[in-house]
Amino acid sequence: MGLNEEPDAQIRSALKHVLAASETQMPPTTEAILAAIRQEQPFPKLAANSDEAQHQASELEPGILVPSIAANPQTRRSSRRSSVIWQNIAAIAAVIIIILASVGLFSHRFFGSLSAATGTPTSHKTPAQTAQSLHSPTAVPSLSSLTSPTAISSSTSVSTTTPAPFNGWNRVALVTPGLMLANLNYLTDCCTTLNPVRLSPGTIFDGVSQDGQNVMYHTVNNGTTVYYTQLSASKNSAIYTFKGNGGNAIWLNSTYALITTFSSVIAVNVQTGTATTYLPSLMASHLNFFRTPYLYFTGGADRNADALYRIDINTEAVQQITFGSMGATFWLSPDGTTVYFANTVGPAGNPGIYAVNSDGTNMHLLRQYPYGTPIGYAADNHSLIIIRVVNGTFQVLKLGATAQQDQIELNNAAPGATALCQTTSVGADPICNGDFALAPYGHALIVQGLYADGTYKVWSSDLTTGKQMAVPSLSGVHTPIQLIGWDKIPTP
Amino acid sequence: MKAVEDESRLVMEACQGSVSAFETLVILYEPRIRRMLYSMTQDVQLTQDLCQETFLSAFRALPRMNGEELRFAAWLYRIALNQVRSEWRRRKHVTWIPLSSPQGNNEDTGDEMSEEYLVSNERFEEGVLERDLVQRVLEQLPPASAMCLLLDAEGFSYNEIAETMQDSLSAVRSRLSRARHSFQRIYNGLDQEALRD
Repeated sequence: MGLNEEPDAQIRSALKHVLAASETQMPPTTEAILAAIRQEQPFPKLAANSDEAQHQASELEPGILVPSIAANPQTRRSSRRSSVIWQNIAAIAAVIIIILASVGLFSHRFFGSLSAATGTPTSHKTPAQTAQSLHSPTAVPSLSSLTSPTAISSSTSVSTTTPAPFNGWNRVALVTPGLMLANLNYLTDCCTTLNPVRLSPGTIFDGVSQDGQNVMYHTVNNGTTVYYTQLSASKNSAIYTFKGNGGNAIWLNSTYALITTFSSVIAVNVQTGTATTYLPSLMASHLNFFRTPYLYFTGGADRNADALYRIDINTEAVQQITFGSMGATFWLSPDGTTVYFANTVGPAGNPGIYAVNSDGTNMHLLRQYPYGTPIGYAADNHSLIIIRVVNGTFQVLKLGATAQQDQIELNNAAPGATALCQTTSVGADPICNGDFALAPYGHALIVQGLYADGTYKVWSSDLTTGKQMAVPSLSGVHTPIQLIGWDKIPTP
Repeated sequence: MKAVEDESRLVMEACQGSVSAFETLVILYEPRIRRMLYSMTQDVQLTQDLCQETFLSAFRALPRMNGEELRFAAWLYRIALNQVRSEWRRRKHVTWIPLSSPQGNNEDTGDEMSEEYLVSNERFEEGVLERDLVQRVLEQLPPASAMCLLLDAEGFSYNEIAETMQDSLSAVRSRLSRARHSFQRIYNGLDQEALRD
């Protein structure tokens, strides 16, 4: 095929041939689709009377407050969350949040202890009341609402021993080349095995819980999705099984996780395995983070798969927060007011790091840094930390109020590396999400570099001292590890 | 005109809850969606999954759509392409254990498969190699560019592509223009490589 004459027409013609060949090569799926549709459960109908509404409510886990279903079928969408009790609880939660924020006590640790003190699996506290702020990706535990270490020491938790530096955040959960779940100590070496059973290929990690004490992952086999937690080196549990292809999960708090089934969102108590329908109508491709009263997600049905949306869990109103930015990872600021993301190959806008208010207003280009990627937040729990490529080096930068105030935290996170990815190709993004993990206090950074000879090297950098080391047992290896996130899972 | 009217009627009935109307739409659109997805992924299993998810998502979403206003084809393709983008995004952003054994070799089945096509029919062979080359070009393009080119090849207007991709018309024009230039450049490069080999 020469492309010298009428190239557009020739390209179109060539692609038509490809499409025609694809139709021949790919076996029909019609029968499977029709079978799936016939098995599809219809959306629950509205209760025609209060007795039926009560029956529907009782099918859900007792102790979890759920909205009652209105008797009027004409107000189907608006009636789903019409419970006065639900609205009052959300309002009370909002007031509590505002009060605590104003006295500087809006911290993950505070809420963690609050929910532990008052919430039990059978309590009448909804998952929404113990909401934590999260940022994406969930592979890195979100402690965006943590205050500084000195403030943490004044939390409600009491200890008579000397607190560990950075509140004990000195380990990173990862998957070894041998498919074992293990921990790496950023000051020493790898690996301490967390689970002696080899992970199955295709395992997808959902992330570490906010308190670092647990990690969740799931597998999909033959149309069944099983979700697991690893609470300690000896406690691996299959907490929930979904009959279908389930999506990702995010931690709501140490007790509850939200899971997308692509046609709804369910809440699972990770301790009891009890599941409750949380948002029965939300078709989300990927759950990103939760910040009362909003669940942030991407994609779903006919929404833009690369744009961030949020849904008000009380009204089920959906807002689009960002434009579609293919390949972007969205980060919510610790105070929950701003969303950051890198736009590299998006349908609109110039490449760079963007910021937008969490309600979707004031979208603007923050920095026009090529290949700059947000990786977390600094010790001040406010400043965004990014990695960017500068003259072949992977520079770690703390963003200031202006570009002139940006501070270099680390000159090169992976000396000599060609990419912070497991594979690379010409023009591809050289920084991949699974190949870096910034500690919750921003005090340390783990990255995996790919080298020109095809080997990998994991680097551990102490951002408080500037010291850097190649992790001995993970240097010069030919098979990459998979970084999951910083954790505090007890090890023997 | 009758075919269009029939489809409009089917869409309206499906929006009103008619499963049989939707099943007819599945039969009508499955080949098109299937070939689009396979052109993007070149993965049989993945295409099966994405195809099924596309129609299931459409089935679930239809009750809340306005049957009179819905442009079904563009809407359905949008769902399908969103499935692809979600899959790429999922593979990029989750910690993903490779399906292949870490000790095993990742066999390049592409080379093995292409051997099957080296039959005596020269024109057939040329056509297959040509399609293989075009496919390789597609794989090297950014996904959004590949999507635009394929939608254009399927006969969608610029307006329909914009609606499907949820882009502005000017963005689609610009993207298609860039995509075609990239296609030419990559194609010529691969073609010259093949000639050298």
